[in-house]
Amino acid sequence: MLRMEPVSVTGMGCVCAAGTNLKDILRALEAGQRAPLPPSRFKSGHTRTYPVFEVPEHVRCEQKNGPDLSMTAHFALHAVKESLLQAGLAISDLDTSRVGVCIGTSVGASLNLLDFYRGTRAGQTPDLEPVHRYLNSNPAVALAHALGTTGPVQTVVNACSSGADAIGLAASWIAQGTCDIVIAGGADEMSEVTYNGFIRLMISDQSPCRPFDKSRSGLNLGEGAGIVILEASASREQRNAHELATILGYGTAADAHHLTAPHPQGVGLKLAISDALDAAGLAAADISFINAHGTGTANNDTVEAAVLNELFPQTPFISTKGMTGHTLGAAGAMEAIFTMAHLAAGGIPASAGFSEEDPALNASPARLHTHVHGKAAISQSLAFGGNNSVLVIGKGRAI
Amino acid sequence: MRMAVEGMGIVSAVGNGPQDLAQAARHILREESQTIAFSKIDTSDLVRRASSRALRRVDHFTRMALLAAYSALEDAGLDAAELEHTGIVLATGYGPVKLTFDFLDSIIDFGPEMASPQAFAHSVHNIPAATIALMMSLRGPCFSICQLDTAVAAATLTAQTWLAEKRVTRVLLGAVDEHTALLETNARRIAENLPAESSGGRRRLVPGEGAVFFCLHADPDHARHGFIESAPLSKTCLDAPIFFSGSASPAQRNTLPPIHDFSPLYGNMPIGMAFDAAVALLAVQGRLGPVMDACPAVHCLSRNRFGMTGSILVTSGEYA
Amino acid sequence: MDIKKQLKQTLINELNLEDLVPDDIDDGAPLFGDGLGLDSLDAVEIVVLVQRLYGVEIKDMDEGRRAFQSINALAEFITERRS
Repeated sequence: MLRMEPVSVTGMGCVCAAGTNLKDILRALEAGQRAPLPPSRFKSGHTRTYPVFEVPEHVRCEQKNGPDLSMTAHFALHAVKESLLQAGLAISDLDTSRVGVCIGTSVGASLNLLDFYRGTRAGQTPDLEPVHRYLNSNPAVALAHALGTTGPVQTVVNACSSGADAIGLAASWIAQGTCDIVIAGGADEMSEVTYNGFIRLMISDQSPCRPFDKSRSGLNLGEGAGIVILEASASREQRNAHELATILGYGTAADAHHLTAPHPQGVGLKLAISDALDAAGLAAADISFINAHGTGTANNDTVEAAVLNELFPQTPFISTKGMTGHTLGAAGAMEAIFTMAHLAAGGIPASAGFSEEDPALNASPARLHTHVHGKAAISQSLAFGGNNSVLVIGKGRAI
Repeated sequence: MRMAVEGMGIVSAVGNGPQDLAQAARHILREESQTIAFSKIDTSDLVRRASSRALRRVDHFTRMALLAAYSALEDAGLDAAELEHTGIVLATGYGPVKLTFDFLDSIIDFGPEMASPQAFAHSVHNIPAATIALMMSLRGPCFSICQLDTAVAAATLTAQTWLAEKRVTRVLLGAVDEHTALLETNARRIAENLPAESSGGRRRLVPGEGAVFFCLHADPDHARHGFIESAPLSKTCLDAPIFFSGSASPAQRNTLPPIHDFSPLYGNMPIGMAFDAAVALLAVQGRLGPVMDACPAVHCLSRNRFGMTGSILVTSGEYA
Repeated sequence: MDIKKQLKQTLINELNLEDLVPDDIDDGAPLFGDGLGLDSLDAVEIVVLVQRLYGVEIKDMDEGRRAFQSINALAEFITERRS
C-alpha cells in the first residue's frame, strides 16, 4: 500500500434522524437526547415493535416537489446541496469530466419493489412507475445526472461499509489525479424490506440500541445521507477554499470467514486498520479517537472491542449509532463526517445508549463528553459479508 | 494505467469458455444467425472446485460468478491458495434479483414474522463477492458495484485505482447478472421507453444471464491475453473498432471505426460490456480470425438511459 | 410421519442439505458446530421454519440454543410448546 498524500475535504452535508443539516446533528449528538419510534411509513406487520431512526418528515415531503427519484437519491441530493454550499461551489462549476461522483448505498440500489411485486403476483399488470423510479435513482448515477458532472461515476454496494468505501475510493481518485473534485458519501432510506430482514435475522433491538453496553441486544435501523466534497489541492488553492479536514488513509479488507458474522478475532478489521495507517504514514499512537461501527449487536461490539483493546487500548472511542440508528450505506460516510467535525472541535460526545460496561468486553466507549487532542482520528465500518473499512481522518491544515 | 489480463473466465449462454465465445462472435461478425437459448445457465461444473455442502446456500447468481472467477484463475494457471494481495471487484446491473424476490415472496406468502432470513441475507448485494472471498480465502479489498449499464466501466476503474496505488498486486474483476421471468416481462414493457442510443435501447432481446471474470495483474509481463484499462473514447486509438450494443445511426455504422454489436450472444444485460471486453481480448489476440484480423486495440462502450457512456480500452501486448 | 422425521426432512429441504437423507441425521447428535455442522444463519432460518410449520415461536437465541441442541431437543421443545 503506497503512502497517500492527504486529500482535502472542502464541504460536508448530512441528514438523518438527529437533524437535517450537520450543525443541528452535531448539536443533537452532544445533547444525547434520542427518541427512536416504530416506523411511521409502513405497517410493520409485527406483533412487537422495533424502533427506528427516521429522517424528519419535512425533508421527506420535499421529495414530492423534486424530481421523481427514490427517497435515497433525494436524501443524497439534500446532503449534496449542503456540502456544495459549504464548499462554495455552484452546480455550474461541476459540469466537467474532472468531477466525479462516488456513492455508497444498500437499499438505494435494491429491487425492493414490494407493492409492485405484490401486484405482479396477484396477476395484475401494475403501473411501471416504481420500476422507472428505480432505474432513474441509482444514487451515483442520479446525482451525476442532476448535477451535470461528466467524470467517473460509481455506486458502491458494500452493505454497511459502503459509505466509507465510497469516500476511500474517491480519495484515491483525487490522489491519482483522476479527478479534481469528487462528491462522495453514502445514502439509504428506511425500507420495509430491510426492516423485516434484520428482525428475521434476530439482530434488531426492541428498545433504543445500546452500543457496547452490557445489556445490548441488537441494532435499530436508521436512514439518511452523508456527503463530502473531496478536492485536489490545485483546485482548492485556486478557489481559495477552506480545508475542513483531510482523508489521510483508507484501508479495506475481507474477513473471508462467514457471510453474516464478523471474524471472532477481527482479522479483516486489523488488516484494514494496518493498511489505512500505512497509507497515512501514521501509527496507532497518533490516533486521538475512534468512531466505531458499534451497531449494538452482540457479535459486532464484541469483535470491535477486542480489536480496540488490542490495538488502541488507551484511545477513547464512541459509537454514534445510538443517535442515528444504523443507516446502512450512509453510515460509513456520516460517521466519517462526524469524525471530521469532532476532530476539528477537539471533543467527542458521550456514546449514546451506553451506561454499563460489559465485563466480557473489557472496554467502554466514552461516557461523557471527552476532549481529544491530536491531528488524526479513525472512523471504521464492519459490513455484512465480512467487509471491514477504515478511514484515517486528519484535521484541516491552515491554508 | 493498463492492467495485464492473466486469465479470463466465461460463463455464458453460448458456453463456458473463451473458445465457445470466439465461435459465437465469429458467427455474429459473419452476420450468420444462430439460435441461442437464454435459459438458466449450467453451473454444475462448480462441484469440481467446491463441495456441494460448501455450495448448499449459494444461489445461481453467485454460482455463475464463482464459476467464472475460478475459471479465470485456472486460465491464468493460478490456484486460489497461492494468491496474495488480491482484491475482488464485482459489477452487476441489478444484483441478485432472484433472491431479492425470494425474500419478497416469503414476506407475501408467510407474512413479515415468518419471512426467510436466509433469503434476505443472501440478497444483500455484496454477498456474492463476499462468497468468492470466503471460498477462495481472499482477505483483500472486496467491492461490489451495482450500477445498471455503467457497472462494468466503474468496476474497471476501481480495479485500476487499486493496482495503481499498490493496494493490491492482483484483482479479480468480474461481472454478473441473472435472468428472471420478472425481469424479462418488465424489460419488454419498458423497452419502448428506452432511448435507442442506450445500451438497452436497440436490443429487443430476451434478457440474458451470465458472468465474466478477468484475473488482472499490475505487472505487464503477466499479460497472457492483453490489457484492459478504463479510458474515455475520445482520448485514444481513434481508429480502433468499437464494440457497443446500443444504437448507432447508419451513417455512424458506415464510417471508420467499425462498430460491432455482440449482444445477440449474451442477451439484454446491463453487464454486457464485460462480454464485449472478453470478445475484444480475443480480437486483439487474433482469435476471431479469419473473419476479423488481429487488431492492436478495441474500445468497449456501454451507455445508460441518461446518455452517460462507460468506456474500456482493450489492447494487445504489441500496442504501445 | 413422526415429528422427528418431519423435522429432519424439513432441515434437509429448507437448508439445502442435499447430500443427506433423514436416516443420516442422528436424533441425539448436535445440530450446530460438530455433528450436522449448521451455523448461525441456519439457526435463524430454523426459528422461522418452526413457527411456520408448528406455530411455535422461539423468542430469542437463548431459547433457541436450548431447543437446537439436537433433533430430540427440538422435537421436545415443539411438543411442549404446542400442548
